[in-house]
Amino acid sequence: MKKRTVAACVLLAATLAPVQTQVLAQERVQVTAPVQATKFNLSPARTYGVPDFAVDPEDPLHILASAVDLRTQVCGTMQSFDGGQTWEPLESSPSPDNYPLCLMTNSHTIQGKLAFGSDKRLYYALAGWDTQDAANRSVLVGRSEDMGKTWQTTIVRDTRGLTGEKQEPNRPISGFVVDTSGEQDVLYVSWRQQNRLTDPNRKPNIPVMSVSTDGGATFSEPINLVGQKFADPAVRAEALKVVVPPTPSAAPAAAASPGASPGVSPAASPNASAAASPTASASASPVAPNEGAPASPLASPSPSPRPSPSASGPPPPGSPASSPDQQVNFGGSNPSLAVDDKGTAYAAWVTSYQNIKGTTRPAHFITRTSDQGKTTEVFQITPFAKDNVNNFGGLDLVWSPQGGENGTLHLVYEGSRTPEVASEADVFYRRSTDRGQTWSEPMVVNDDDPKQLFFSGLPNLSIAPDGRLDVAWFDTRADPGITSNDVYYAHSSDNGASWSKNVRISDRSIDRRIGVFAQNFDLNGPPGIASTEAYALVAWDDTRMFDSVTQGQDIFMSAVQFEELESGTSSTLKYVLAGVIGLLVVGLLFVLLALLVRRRETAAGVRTV
Amino acid sequence: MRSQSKFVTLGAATGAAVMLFAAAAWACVAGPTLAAEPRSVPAGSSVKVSGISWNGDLPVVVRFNALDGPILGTFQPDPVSDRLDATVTIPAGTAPGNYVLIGTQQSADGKFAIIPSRALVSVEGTGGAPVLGAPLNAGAADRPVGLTESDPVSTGSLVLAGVGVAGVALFIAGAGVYFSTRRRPQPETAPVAK
Repeated sequence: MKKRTVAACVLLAATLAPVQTQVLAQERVQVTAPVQATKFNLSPARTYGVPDFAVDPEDPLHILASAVDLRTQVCGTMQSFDGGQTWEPLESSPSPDNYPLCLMTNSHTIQGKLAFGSDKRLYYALAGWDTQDAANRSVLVGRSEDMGKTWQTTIVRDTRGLTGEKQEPNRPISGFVVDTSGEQDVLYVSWRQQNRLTDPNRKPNIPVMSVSTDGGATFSEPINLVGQKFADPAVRAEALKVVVPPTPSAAPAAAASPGASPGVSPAASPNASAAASPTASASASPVAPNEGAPASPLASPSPSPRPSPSASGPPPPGSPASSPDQQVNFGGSNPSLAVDDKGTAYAAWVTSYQNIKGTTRPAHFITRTSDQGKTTEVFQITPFAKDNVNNFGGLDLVWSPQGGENGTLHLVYEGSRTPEVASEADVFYRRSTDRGQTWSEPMVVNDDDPKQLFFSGLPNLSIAPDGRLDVAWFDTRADPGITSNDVYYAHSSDNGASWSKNVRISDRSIDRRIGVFAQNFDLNGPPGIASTEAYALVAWDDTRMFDSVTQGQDIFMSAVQFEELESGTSSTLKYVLAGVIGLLVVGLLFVLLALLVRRRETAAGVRTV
Repeated sequence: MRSQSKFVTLGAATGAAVMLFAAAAWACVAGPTLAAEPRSVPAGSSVKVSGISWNGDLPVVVRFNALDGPILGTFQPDPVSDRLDATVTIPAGTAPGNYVLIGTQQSADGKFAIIPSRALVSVEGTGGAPVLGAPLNAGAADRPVGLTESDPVSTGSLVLAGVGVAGVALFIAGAGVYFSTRRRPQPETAPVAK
């Protein structure tokens, strides 16, 4: 009997011994309920633009984000320690006192750009200006050694004091990356350099980049990313070959490029043109060609009339306006930056033109430098074609280590499946595995019905540490007819070979009759994305807390979650605790047993006595 | 001093806001708009449609609820302002629900020339109250709040762990009792007096 009891006890103990059962997380994608990230600001006038993100390299739940109030035009920062579910503002701004304003009046741009460097150093690229600057916009980069609590800011390009045709209304800051492969951080910041030249000397925008090899303490002079590409007559001929001459019956404004128009409707989709200038002086002056031009030949004329060459006679020989086929009439816009693991920097940009009559067709190029901007090489990504519907921006570039020894460059941009329909836009994707020299055929990321002619534009591209590519954009497919748009998302887990089914991120359509996304303000940008292995956090400017009187915007965010986060308490600790509790129970049993035995013995003793 | 600073900040912010919003007049407009008024009507009623940024050289065709839906009217926008102002009639017998009026412009070859613009109209049911069809802006109510944390250690496995440890402890205790009982010397039998 006793042997049987022992055997039963052994069997029971073996059966009930703690078994570590590893529950593998099944791959599933779920979208979290949106959070109002900027609810710390109670001002009824708050008008936030879309943010840029920087994920703490050592803690994927710690995220910093730019928080730019478009109404006060102040660049701020906020941070989250729980993967974007709650946010707190950081008091300090990277804007120095003498350059307090940072708004870049432009569509298709995120106003402040963040990036981590080595040793958790945080960088912030932003514009800088004051009311004294008229149209001038300077370029700044802030450095923070304490996660955004304090900033040291360097002026990358100082435009203060420039007057007349020398003014530089630089905008927007379209690219910012940090190369951490060397001993010191190398910073690359890029923007569209505009000019204030007038006829017959107007020149196109130029995509430029400035480089810091000392961790942001000093920066190089702006480097022209176009280089000598258009010195080649064959390249110019290729561009001029597809220009559609203006129709004789068209209004003067019809000379504008339809390629400048990615918008769908004024409220639901952004205007490709440069947005309202923030100051009266800047507003009154002519905006750069192609951006300031109407969104399409069908749209209303530009608000800044340009003198007609025919009215003042033919342009003087040798001037830019004297002949379209000159290198000086070819430029580019909105360079987006990426850097690979060998320290090679890449800038993708889209062409801009000047002094070319008719409807021009944009193309995308990439500039590569392996020596921090000392020398550059330029390669063509897309042909000069009408399916490139945005001739000044709407593109984003990232690099991933997957795809071979060179890694892969990934590009998203605004294209069109139906380019004959004005303002129709789609999210196009291409990739290169030979450092930008050749590119794949385009893939369309948005999966809506092309016959419905919805707008899918302002794409943003981000890459997670495990190589997953995240794309988010604004889309009108769910607009119930209230002039709204939504945020949509897709990802690729095979280095861009294929893309997932689209996921609606915003939980309700965003009413664009409210706020400054459109409505003639056109202060908009692509959705912000923070990519980690476990989730992609997607942010947008949302008007749900406002009405036609307050006209404000908040930052809202939802996460697309791929993996469950590790619980705060370790499994081992939980099992140890369970074991301790088990021992306590046994100990308690023994105590009770001992008390019972003692009581019986006492009772027996009493009876004996 | 502090109040002065606050005043300056407030003034600057207000000034900036004024400048920003005053600048709207300079911004460019892209693509057409379409709005319906009133937005909730019985079937067979008239609705005013208006919008801006249409191509003044092309007629606007207003269709009902689909790009190839019934044509409610064809109208010429103002060639100078590119503005559209028109009145259409919601088809009689339309079931209550939400619909869109779609404004389109086609070029001479019959292809769409510009992206369509849509305006919401709710067709009311009997009694005048709007009976909504598909919910507007239906939020994703079933979305989880916050990021999901993994919990590979379930409550059941923790209970098992505790019971297991308790079982082992009991086993050890029982074994100890068993062996101590076996080895305990038996009391010697008292010699029987003969």
